[in-house]
Amino acid sequence: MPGFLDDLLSNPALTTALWPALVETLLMVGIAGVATVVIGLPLGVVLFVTQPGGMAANRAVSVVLSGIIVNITRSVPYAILMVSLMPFTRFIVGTSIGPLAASVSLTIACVPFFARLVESGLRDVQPGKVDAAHAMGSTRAQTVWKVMLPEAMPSLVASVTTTLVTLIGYSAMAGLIGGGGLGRLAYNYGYQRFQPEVMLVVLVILVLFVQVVQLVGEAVVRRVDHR
Amino acid sequence: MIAVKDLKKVYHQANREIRALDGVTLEVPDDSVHGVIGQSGAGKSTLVRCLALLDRPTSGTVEINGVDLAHVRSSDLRRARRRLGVVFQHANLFDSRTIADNVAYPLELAGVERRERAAKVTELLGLVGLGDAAAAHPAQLSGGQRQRVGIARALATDPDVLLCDEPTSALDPRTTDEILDLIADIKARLGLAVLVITHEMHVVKRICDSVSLLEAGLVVESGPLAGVVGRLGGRLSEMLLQLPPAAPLPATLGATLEVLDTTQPGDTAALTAAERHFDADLPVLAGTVEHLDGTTFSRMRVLVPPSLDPAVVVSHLKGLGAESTISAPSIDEVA
Repeated sequence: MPGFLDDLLSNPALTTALWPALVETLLMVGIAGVATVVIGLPLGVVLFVTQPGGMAANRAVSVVLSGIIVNITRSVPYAILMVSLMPFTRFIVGTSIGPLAASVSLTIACVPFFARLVESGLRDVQPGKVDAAHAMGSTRAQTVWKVMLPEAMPSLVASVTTTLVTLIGYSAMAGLIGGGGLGRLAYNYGYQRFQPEVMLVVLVILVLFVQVVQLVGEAVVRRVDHR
Repeated sequence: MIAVKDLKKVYHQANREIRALDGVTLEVPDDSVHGVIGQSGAGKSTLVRCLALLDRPTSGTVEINGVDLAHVRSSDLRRARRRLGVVFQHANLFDSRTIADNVAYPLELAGVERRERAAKVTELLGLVGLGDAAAAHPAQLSGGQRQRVGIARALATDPDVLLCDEPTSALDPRTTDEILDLIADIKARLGLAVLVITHEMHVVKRICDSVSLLEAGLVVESGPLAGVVGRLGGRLSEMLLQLPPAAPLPATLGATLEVLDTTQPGDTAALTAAERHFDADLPVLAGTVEHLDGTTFSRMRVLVPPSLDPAVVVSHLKGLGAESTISAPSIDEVA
């Protein structure tokens, strides 16, 4: 057993390749996570307010955003989306490989997912609170910004957590197709070089990563939840 | 003062026209409480939504101190809304904000400065008896306390009119009375016109000066409380002075009368006077007594013995100031 452990600890896959791979994964998840929230939050709000019967009901916007863009993007499997986005990625970041390039497709895959979670979070705000906000003379923007988003905060934080966990999963997949990171490490060493122990280590790291994200997310929810 | 004139709201649903409000007219002067009572489906919710300007009425006007809110532009509407405070059934506080920040919300919208806001919030929380709850969150308060915060919030912009939508329907009887007394107290102190929409007779009895009965989108009865209660056979009178259902009696025992007596303190009850006059017992089979505005209203079901002509008793009671009618014949006579 000590022999196995020595082998493992002296394996260059772990001594030299693991750290950069971990950084790449963190980079991908970090960039895509921030971009997803920045784009997905307003998109979720727009989906909510433009739906039929919504605060700013707009059939055309609702059909295009919700019915076409979000639903279609969500029905394309990530691996396929990633490959098909390569020309677009090259146009945006100049290359189609590496963590930065992977962040583009990760963001595009996760924005509709997160936007839907935001939309349903807003839908769960009691209509009475929205009535109260209007009756006191709030504009629609004030109602969304000062009432609905704060009231939906626990659910929004939970949605960010869920989205990050999804992103971690996708990022490993992105590694296979040039994204780099832990996914590529596991594939190159664990699969192609028949080193299942490397695969196992990557697996453990990913599990720990998800656990940490989930725990932190739940702690923040408890902090912001006054219900 | 708030004046509602010929308010109509028509919804279109799958080619069907639903007249939720079919011409409601109401007037509530300053320093008074008007109750609108109705069963579910009568149009109460629609009335509240139209008065709170959450829905635009199809036609008609809602005037507060002469300004028609139903027809101002949306930009002016937000300013006009500050003249009207709304208290909701479930308080509808914002859980993410502290009690103080909930009360401060309308002041934030009005652009009141932070320091001035804090002073006003302290004053309002004192007014509703929750001075020490400022830093708490709504979830930490009881239902009654939450409703107090809702009232404080509704008063934040110094409105002229307070609109209360079923303010106590979610509360237990004791808390209900506390909240109703608070509303009456605030009305007296601030000279507000208060409109209370409710399905509970108790609310009307306890705090209303006048009352309207809403049915199928129409006000079918309206007037000062003493006026509507003293009208024998009136719907509101029946609702406010409810008698248990009459048990069938054999006709040989005599006829039954429904009597409504209105007395001031010190007056002799008309029934007692009649018993002396006829030198006969007029047994009370059922009765309800309410004291409203210093007047006592007694509604009774009375048995008139066969030795007396019920019509003579009716006219004698009328001479004594009590309205009465002969009830429907008992089942024996029908058979």
